[in-house]
Amino acid sequence: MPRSQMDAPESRLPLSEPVLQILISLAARDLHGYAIMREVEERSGGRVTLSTSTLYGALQRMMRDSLVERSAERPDPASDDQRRRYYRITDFGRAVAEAEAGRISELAHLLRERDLVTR
Amino acid sequence: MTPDRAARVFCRPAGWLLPARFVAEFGDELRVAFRDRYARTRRVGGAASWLGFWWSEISGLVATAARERLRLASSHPSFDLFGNRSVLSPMEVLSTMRQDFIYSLRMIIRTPIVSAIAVLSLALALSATTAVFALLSTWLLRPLPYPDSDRLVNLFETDRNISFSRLRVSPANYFDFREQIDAFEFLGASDFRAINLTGIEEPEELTAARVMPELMTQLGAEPLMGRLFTEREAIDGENAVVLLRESLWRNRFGADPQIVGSELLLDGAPHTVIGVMPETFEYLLGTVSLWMPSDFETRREDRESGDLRILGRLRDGVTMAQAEEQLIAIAGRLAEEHPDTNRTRGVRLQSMRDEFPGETDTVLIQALMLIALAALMIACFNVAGLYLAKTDLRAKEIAVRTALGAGKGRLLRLLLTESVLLALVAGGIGLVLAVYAIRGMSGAIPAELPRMYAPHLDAPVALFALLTSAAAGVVFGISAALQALRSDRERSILLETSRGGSSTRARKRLRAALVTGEFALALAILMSAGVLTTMFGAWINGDPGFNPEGLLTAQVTLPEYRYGSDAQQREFLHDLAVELDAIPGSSGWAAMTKLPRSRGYAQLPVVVEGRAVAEDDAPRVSWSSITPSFFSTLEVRIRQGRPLLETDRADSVPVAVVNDRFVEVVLGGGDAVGERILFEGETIEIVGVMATIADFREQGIMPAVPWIYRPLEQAPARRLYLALRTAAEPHTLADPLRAAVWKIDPDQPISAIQSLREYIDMTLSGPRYIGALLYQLGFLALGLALMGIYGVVAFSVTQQTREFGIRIALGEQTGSLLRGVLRQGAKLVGLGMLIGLPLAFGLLRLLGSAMSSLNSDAALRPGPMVATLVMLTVAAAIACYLPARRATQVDPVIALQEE
Repeated sequence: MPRSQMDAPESRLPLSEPVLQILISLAARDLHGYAIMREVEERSGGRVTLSTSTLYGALQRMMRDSLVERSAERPDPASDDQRRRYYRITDFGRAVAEAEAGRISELAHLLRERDLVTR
Repeated sequence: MTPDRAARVFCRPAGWLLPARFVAEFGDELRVAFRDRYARTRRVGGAASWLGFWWSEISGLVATAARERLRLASSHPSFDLFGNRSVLSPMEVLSTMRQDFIYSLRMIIRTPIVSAIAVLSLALALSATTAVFALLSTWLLRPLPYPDSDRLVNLFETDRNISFSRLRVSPANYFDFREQIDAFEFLGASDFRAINLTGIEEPEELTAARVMPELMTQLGAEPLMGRLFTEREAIDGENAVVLLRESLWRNRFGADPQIVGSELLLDGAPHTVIGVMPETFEYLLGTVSLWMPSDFETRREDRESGDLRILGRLRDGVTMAQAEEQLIAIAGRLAEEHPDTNRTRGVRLQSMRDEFPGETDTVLIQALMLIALAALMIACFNVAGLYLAKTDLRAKEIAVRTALGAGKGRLLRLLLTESVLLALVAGGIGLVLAVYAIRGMSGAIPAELPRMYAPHLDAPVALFALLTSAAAGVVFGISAALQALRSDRERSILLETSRGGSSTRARKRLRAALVTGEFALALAILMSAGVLTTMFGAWINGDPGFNPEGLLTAQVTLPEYRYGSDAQQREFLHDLAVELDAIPGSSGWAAMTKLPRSRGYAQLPVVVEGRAVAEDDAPRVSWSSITPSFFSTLEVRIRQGRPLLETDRADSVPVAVVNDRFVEVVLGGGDAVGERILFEGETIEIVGVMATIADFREQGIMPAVPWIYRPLEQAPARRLYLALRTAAEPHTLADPLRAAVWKIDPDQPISAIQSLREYIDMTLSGPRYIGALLYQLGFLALGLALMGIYGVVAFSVTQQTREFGIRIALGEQTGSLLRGVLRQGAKLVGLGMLIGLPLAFGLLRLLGSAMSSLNSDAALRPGPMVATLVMLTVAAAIACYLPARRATQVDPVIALQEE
């Protein structure tokens, strides 16, 4: 088991915006790089756009930290470019995303408590 | 750009910026993702999405590259940002870079003269390189300003009997091509015609383009005001509408904002102005002032007259070769079905990109670029030489730094920072100089070229200047720095440097090698410049075969609606003769269908009676119709027989005068008078031979062309050139000439009034300009090389001061000292020439082989070569002599005290 996977998920927090967005995209299904970019852009209504370099920079770090891994299967072989690689979220990645969610909701709770959020 | 290409283009710099390991792992995926994102942005389109796309891709790349490299450097402390072994953290590296920068700046300021000379010579060379690159970029690299211009092609016909291979297409052939081929998304026609604008103060002849409405849309045309043609307006009878060019609208109609909707009389018929086209919309070489719509349907059956210019847009995915194959098959069928008109006809496609510049221009411009880069290299060598000298002076400092533990890489970086910084300053100055050079070039661009071919400074050109100057800095910096560092091993702080240990000798050798290289390059440049300009000169100054001074010329095109018949054309000519004869101050006039010394014309086959020749092998000749006064007015020499006479009338025997070249080529020498020839379906008797009038475009480069001159009475024409001879300044006849023509027909426009000298000068401006540019580059190179040799000799004299002092003290004659120093310089120059000569020949061969039309005798004449060698030798001798003389003036007492 890689070293980092033995770490507590909390040690990876907070997540940067691209990392978090990629985790959210991969939560539903495995995707290749460009599909992640499109998913992120569409889901955020164009607020977040990842450039290709940013995407693969983030994916590299996430693989090193075992948040995601390359998926061996290729969901749609018919319309597939050989050079495309698909990515899948790991269990550790899910744990980190969950920890991040906890962190964010804690923050949100705090903000509400101090009346910084009206609703 | 296709997405695949864009991805390749983008991923190359990305591969340099990102660490190698990252590229190995993600390179392919990154390229695919980039391609897909690019493709989607292209589908969406619009400036905003493109801006967003590039901004995010470029900033993302830079940020990721920086982040990955920093991470790599911090996780492997033994590597620095550039992958070199280092013990510095990234922050430390940044701080040393800042130190280097400040230190370099200080060094540059501390030796102001060396720095100034270095900056100046680099700036000059860089400005020349940048200016030439601007021309190259405009002519060869920039895409044409039409949507998807890489799929636009010109369709031409060819004819085995006509040497010109880009013939316009006959309407019937055009319709057959269009209806039988599926390789094109669009295949549209247009033609040119001269049209007379009347009903206003001064009638004017304008060039109009008749186009199919869709052709303008295909070219991305957008009117300045008003609208484009509708399909309906192309139909004959509906097409009395016209679009004006912006300059016509401004110059003739005072930029009238109400122009749309008003009526103009064109060739006597009213036309409604529906819009104004911006000056920037250009299609076809030549200046079109009006656009008119036509579908050419009324001429569907016309297979005789080839006058349509055809533009095609290839279907996506269809190559030019595939389309051409289909066309050739159709042309083959047409030749069988219509042997009368199509038997010798073929067809070819040409990418619109290749229409201009032609092959010769392309080669010339590439040669210019090569030469400019060579000049830049000379400048780099020169500055490297200067820096070597400076490094000698800094040897102590470098030794101290090494002793204190500075690593080699650190020192190299320090020295490189200085040279790159210097080169960038030079690049900045060079760019400013280039702005002026480019402006000069734009002004010298021949008027008939569309303005999109005028070079100008834009982002790629500026980027080029920046990159070349940085590269120049690295080139001269590395050569000087490596040398400086190499010698440090052998040197201690305590050792005196100027005495000349082995390291100094090595450095001297390097400087000598640099100067030798400079001379070799300068020789090659000057020699090619010399040869090319001699060639241009031969063609500019050669014997024209007539007297071009004191002639005023003008063009008169008789409109078809008034002068359609031969009889009407003859009558105009008779009336004109009466009026022109009466002009005071003019000693004679002539009319002709082609101006002497103008551009190469199409040629037609001629057959000599009694000599059996297959029609396809018949020699081809140019022709002109002239008035008999042509010979006296232009002062053309008659060699044999008689000139044309007033008695050669429409109803008498058809006659012609031919030129010398005709006798040589067509008749194979001998007596020409009395021979009968078959030309354009007529049997014509040759009555005289005249001196060949030189065609400036070809003289000295291509052999002259055979010509036939026929009387206008027997072969009338509507497009005429007039020439008036006067002893006074030719333009004084302009007003009387206009008055004379308007007296016959007040609606008849006269255009292109200028002296023949002006006309020749204007059309020669291109070659003159290139010649001048070549010489400027050549002299720049020479100047730089001389500076180099002066520097080397002067430096060695200074170093040997002590030695000279001793030798003078021992009684040696100053003459022998002087000879010794000169010999040293002569060795460098001689070696440079030995290397330079083959280089020059290579360059000339390259030019010669690429310009297939080039007359190689003209290219390799020994005169200019010897002249160049002599000039270079004399200049080099002076550059050596000046410092050498100093050696003889050494005072032994002072020299020995110096140490």
